[in-house]
Amino acid sequence: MNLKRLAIILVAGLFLYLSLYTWNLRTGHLTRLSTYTGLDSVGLVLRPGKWVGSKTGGFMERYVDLVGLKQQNEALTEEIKALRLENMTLRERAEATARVEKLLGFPEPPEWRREGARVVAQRVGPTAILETILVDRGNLSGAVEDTPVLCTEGVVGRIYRAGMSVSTVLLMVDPSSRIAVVGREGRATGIVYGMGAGEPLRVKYVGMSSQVEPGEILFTSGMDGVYPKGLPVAKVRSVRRGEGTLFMDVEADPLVDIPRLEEVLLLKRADQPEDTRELWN
Amino acid sequence: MLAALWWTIFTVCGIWGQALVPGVDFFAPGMAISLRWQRPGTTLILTLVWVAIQEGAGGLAFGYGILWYALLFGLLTVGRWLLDPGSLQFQALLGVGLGLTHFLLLYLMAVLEMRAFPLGRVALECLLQALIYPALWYLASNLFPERLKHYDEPA
Repeated sequence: MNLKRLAIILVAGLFLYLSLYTWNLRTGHLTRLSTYTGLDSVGLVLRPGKWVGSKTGGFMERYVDLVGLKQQNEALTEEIKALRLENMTLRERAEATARVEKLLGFPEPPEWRREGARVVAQRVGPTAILETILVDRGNLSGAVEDTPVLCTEGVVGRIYRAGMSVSTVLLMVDPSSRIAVVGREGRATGIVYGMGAGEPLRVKYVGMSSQVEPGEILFTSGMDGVYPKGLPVAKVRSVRRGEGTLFMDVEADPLVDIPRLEEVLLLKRADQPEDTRELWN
Repeated sequence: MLAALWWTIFTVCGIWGQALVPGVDFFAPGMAISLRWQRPGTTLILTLVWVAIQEGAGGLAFGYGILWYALLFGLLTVGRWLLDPGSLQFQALLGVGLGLTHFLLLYLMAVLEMRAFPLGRVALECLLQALIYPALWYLASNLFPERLKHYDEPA
């Protein structure tokens, strides 16, 4: 093969590649095709092993947990009593709030359905540059892109790509993740930015006059249109009030221990119209 | 039939390997083996399957896999003209080349998509890629059935 022919092949190949890349960036057809084939194949291969692992691990844990079961049972009974009391008070308050909202003519918030999902894997493959996990729910069970993902401690992230039976979840610690939040006590608003695995989260655009203190829990404000209002996101670690800036420098820690995640919950809108503004009409 | 079975097992093991060691391509040694011992059509089909898996499971827009396997094909082809493709030294050298290629390609893709580039993590993954590739190649080429070694293109 002479050099001229090689150069022509290389230039033609590069041109073809760039055309394909640009066309896919615009349409997303190839990304979708690889999601429905590649991502689902990965799920198909990993799920049986994860299932066997969880069953074996569960059996061992049950055996080990038998030790000290009586003491644990007594402690849990006490905890249930305390929680029942708290629940009664909170239910009264919630019902009173609902009555006031009805009187004032507040619109009904959209309904959400919860569905459990198992974590199949963390990042997979050489292109896994984003902080992600794979879960065993996809389009077939109603999971779509931007479906919020949480666990019992708080927000985990949102679905980034949904295959037929497996989805990739973009974790809140990824630098491309943004969540609109509000402080529990001071009601200071801001946007939580991921800074990478193992790094504290940054809360940006918190005004200088806002009230926020270390230890305060930040909840979703619902202003981003992805997460419903009121989900716990992070705990404020530090607050710095710098000079010559309009905003405070706030750092926070995620409430979820992501490397230990085994099960998550997907939050799906019960009825999702094409235009989300219809939910508030 | 034996080839299909072997490559299926190889791909399944590769997926598990990639789930256990994120950021590393476990299919790359398969391309070296397939190019040496299998027909070009088989290599093409296998590459398409691996590209779909890498792109589907990864976090970037479609495009990295094609470049990655095209460059691996180029490195293997050029390497076969100059060195013995069956030697561990050549594969170790190729592993170093793949580690560097992985870094440059990921950086290029991250810039094109305006994503954050976790330098420390990617550098570690490139090092792992460089170390794991020759070891995997050695293991897989020794496990590759003799009956399937019917297509050895002259260097």
